[in-house]
Amino acid sequence: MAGTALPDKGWDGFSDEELIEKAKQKDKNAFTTLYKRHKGRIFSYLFRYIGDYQKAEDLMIETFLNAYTNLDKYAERGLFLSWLYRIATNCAKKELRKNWNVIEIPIDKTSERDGEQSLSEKIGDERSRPDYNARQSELKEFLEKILSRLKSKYKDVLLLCDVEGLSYEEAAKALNVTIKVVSMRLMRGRRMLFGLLRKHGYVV
Amino acid sequence: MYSPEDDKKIQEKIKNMLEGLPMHTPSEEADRKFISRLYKLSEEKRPVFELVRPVYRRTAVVASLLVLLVVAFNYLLAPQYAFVMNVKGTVKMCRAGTNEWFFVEKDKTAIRKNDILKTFSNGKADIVLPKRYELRLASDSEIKLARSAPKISGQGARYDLAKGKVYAYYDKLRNSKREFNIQTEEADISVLGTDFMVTSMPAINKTWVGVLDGIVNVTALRLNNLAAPIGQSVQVAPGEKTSVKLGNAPARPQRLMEEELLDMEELYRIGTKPQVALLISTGTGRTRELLSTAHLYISADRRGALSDQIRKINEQFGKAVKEGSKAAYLNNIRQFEEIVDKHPDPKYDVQFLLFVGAYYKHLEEYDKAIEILQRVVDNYRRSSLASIAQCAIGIIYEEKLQDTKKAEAAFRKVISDYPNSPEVDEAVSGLHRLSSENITK
Repeated sequence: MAGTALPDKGWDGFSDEELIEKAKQKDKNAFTTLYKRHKGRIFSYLFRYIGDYQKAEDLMIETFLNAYTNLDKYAERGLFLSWLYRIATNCAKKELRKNWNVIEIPIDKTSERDGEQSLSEKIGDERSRPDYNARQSELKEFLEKILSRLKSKYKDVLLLCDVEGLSYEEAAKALNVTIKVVSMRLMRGRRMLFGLLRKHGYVV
Repeated sequence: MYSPEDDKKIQEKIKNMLEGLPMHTPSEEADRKFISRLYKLSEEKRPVFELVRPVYRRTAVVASLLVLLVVAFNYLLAPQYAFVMNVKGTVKMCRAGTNEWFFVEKDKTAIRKNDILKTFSNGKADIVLPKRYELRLASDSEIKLARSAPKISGQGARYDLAKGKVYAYYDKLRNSKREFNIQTEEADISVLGTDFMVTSMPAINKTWVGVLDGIVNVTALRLNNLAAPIGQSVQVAPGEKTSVKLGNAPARPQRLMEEELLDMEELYRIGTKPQVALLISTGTGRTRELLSTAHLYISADRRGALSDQIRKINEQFGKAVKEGSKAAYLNNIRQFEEIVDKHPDPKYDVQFLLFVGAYYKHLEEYDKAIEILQRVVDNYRRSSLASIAQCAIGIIYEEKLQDTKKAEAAFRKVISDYPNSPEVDEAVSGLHRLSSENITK
């Protein structure tokens, strides 16, 4: 089929904004380049959000097609990725609403019991442990799983900021909230995640 | 709760953990799907509307709106159909533009412009336009719908009565600005909501009109006397009648006679509210007529509740007349008073109360009579019959209670408060009588 191969040279030298301008003129090749450039991040984000590989692929396609259709609504220069994440987040939330039996893990108010060893002491140096690599692999798997089960508002910020590496400002634009909200949710989300990891023995 | 130091470490640890998560990549199949759908998206036909230039789009929208307006306008101006109902005996209809008569047997047969409805010797039928008007056609009658009434403003309907009798009830409240006409060879009868009967007698070229409620305008259609104003009309008030002979002006309205009322009674029971007519003339002698026990004509209320009460009172009234018992009369009259209290209706209250006041006077309960008449004066000042009540008070004080001071005050009030009423003459006569009495005393 004509146009099914991804262009692998020629367009890569253009910036996102230049490609967007061309794509707005219905230049399919320009937009395909944008897809290629950002598909990994969007897919990773969606995969961790949803927890299902196949669904994440479908949502990724939907995200980019929505972006193409609504390119004329994109006006904020330099924040294309934020805009993409916003579309992706909306698609993911819409998908999750369909699966009403997915239980979101609420905030866990972790507290230390009096007299217990402090966390600093407990954390120690894990790398000295003999089963460290295996544990790490298990941990990453667990993290991926647990992230998708977190409540949306904490999952969003953890994924965008800590996993995807967006700045607070970029994450705020993507989620349509203030930077302060992003910061606050991030802190609480991390504490919550820590509590879950400790509960399951991945941290001490 | 963690200490700030511990919290800081937790934040750092989790951040590092998450940063270390590997990126996932979609399959090549997903790439192919995306490309395929992207190109399909580009090739999809745009809606026809979007392909049309904006200026043509706007023109199309405006043109559609105009068409809608025209359709809506035509719908609103389209005539409302009346229906033939309650058919009894032999009734036939001839549709406009045809010479074919057919039997009307079913209810809700529509009658349209220029359709003719005919009843035979044993036939009767109603023509009903719900919430607008109802006509009852007597036997041996023929009527044509000459003009239909549109749904909204504009002229009301007109029927041409070729022969026979029709009783008409026209809802005043719903048709306050639209005339309703019945025409005969001799006369045009127009109303703005009323209850009346028209009889057309083509054999003697005469039309008769009797009115039970509201005001009816009767205009002669053809006048022989060239000196007479063209289209001379008379206004016929409740309890009155007139007649028009071909070529002549309508007769001066006169009081309806008992037998004429009975004649109307058969056609009378249509409309949804009780029809009340105090049968007194419109002239200067009407107060005296009232106090000589005038007739109060009341129709049956179709809904029944008030009708039952009135029927009962009428029966008892008849009984009281037979017995000649004052107590029975009084009891009866009190029930009339109750009707005004329990079923108030400004349309009929004055007529009821005047009748009650006159009857108390007839039963020699003069104080009670004055009390009732005073209620009319106090509570119904704007009624055209209030002046009768005021004048009647003067007459009762003068003739029955011999209270000349109060009589004089009452007569003076007629002149000051109702200077244009027919009662002024009676009041002036009363003052003359009182002053000449003073002179002779």
